[in-house]
Amino acid sequence: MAHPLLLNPTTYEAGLMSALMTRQSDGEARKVLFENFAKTGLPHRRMEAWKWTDLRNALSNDGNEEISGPADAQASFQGPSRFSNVGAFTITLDKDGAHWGSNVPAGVTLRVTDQVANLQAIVADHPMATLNASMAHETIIIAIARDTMVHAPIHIRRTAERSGHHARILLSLDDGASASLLETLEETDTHFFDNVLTEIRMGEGAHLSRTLYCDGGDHGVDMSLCAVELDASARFSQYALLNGAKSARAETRIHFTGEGAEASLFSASMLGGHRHSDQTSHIIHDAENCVTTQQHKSVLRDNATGVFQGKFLVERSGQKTDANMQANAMLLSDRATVNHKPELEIYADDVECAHGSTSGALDEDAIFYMRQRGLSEAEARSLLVEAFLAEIFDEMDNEGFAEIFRDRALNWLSESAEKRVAR
Amino acid sequence: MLSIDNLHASVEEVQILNGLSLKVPAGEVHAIMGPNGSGKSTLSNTIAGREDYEITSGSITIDDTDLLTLDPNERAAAGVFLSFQHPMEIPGVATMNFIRTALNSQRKMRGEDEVSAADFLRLIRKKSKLVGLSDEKLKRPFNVGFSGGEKKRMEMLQMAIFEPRVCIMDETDSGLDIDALKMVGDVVNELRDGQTGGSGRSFLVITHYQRLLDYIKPDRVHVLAGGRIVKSGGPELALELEKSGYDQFIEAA
Repeated sequence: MAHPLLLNPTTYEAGLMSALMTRQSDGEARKVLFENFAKTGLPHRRMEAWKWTDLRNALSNDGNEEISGPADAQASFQGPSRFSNVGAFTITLDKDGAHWGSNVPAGVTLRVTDQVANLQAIVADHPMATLNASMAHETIIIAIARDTMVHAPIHIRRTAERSGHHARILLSLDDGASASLLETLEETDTHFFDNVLTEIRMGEGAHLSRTLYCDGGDHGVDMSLCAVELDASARFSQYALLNGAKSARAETRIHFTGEGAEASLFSASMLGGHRHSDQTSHIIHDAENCVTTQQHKSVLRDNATGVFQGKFLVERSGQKTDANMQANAMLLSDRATVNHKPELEIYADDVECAHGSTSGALDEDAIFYMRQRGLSEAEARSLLVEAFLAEIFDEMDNEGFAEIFRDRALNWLSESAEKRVAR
Repeated sequence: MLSIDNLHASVEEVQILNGLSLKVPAGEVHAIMGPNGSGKSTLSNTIAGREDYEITSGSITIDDTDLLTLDPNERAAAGVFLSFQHPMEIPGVATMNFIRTALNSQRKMRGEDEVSAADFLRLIRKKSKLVGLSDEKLKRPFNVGFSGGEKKRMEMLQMAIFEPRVCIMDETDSGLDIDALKMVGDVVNELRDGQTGGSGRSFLVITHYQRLLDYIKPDRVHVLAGGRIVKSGGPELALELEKSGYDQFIEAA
């Protein structure tokens, strides 16, 4: 049954609405979230922030009308993670919910709740956040105590075993705490819709490194939203390898609330076939002397589509902001598409903000040069792409993760070369 | 021996080479001189296998190997080395890694063993001294931030390392000072007279100026005009050209 608030819902939306209707009896908080979501329904191309990622359309015609259930018939198989040897403490999200081993690192408190927590202000009106919070199958609460340094990376492993899965993660780092968060969704051939929300609060001088690995396969719909609030002198670094999906979006929203904090975001995207990947960020400089460094690089072949949307919003309170954003795309096929939208909105008068955007093909003169020296055409192309992406991987603070990213890039490039030979 | 016979080549449907024939026997250095637009760079690119150049007739062989059927990397493995007039900068590609990968690809294609990392390091250290490139330069991405002269030194470094059978030097002397010219001469003369099969090597030196030929003594000098060789002679021809210029040949072509 369709909810009266949402006009002309798609079949998927109508199903979602009726699922939400039954859940709103869980309490007032869910009801408010649900009504918020019902104002827009699933984001679609007529919404400015979603013009290149039409989720409503992506979920309308894949024959997957189940709101919650197995992603598809053979979905229950979980292969080994490529991150199984990095010494991480792993929380697995599968069709049975969230589970983990007994080796919870010292200084970390961990629990799962079905209570609905308020959304962080910077995502309170975000349709994926309201959908997630009102549907959330489980909310995982991770707290890291003051001045604690957690050595083992905390690995949130999404498996996409259940379609229409809405997992919510609340991570708080008390003053002076430091940790590494790894969020992965590894190669899968299944049809699914996964919508994860990660909300992070960082106290004074806290330090978090977040590594993101997303590969939703050719059929998945993979939405990931992260909100980060940084208090004074906190440092947040993010490294992402995005392989896309039928439709994928990794969005990060950052709010600087205390002076002298820093954020850096480095992402690489490798897309082939008909895959799509959207890297969106919205960074609010709401305190003095904060620094943001952002670089996104994408390589696209076949009919792939890449999206980069980056926004810096510098409030009056954001004096002495130093923010830099770069997006570079390399197109290996003339059927591939890339959309870049850098945005600066500045209300303070003493800031340094810059952005740059490039897109182009491989340099044919460089390829000839390398071939003259003895490299095959495929080797030359691969080396140039590798060099292009290396800049992102070289920034990573965990060498183990960086090696996994580099390996994945090499595999991807050799798949690319094989395909070319096959044609 | 490099043999070019009756070569016709065009770029974007403009005929540049019009029946060029040339033989450079093993162990010899031949200089090619000629006015701008005479086809000097087309000749070097055609030998190296650049795909923008269309060969309409003629042949290029090294001994019995027909180069025209080979890809550029196969030509490199067959022993063709082109010292580029304008060498590329390749950001993000580590110099040593690139040269070693290239050397080993060539060796692999020839069925030879790969050079180990340690042996390669010894080799590149020795040859970089010969061409005057510091370790610091070798640690940079390939040619990035190099001056024109340093890029030419990088070309000579690779030529010294690959020990090709046919060295084509396309205006290697342009933009070089006297010391660098001497360095180019040292590299060529070491390859020419060295114990590593020097007598089997052919050199084609394309230049506008006589001055490089003070350091590399050519066996033959050819004048290229209008897409073919219009005059050949001994080293004295280069001196003569320096005095009288190319005007006489432009008409002849």
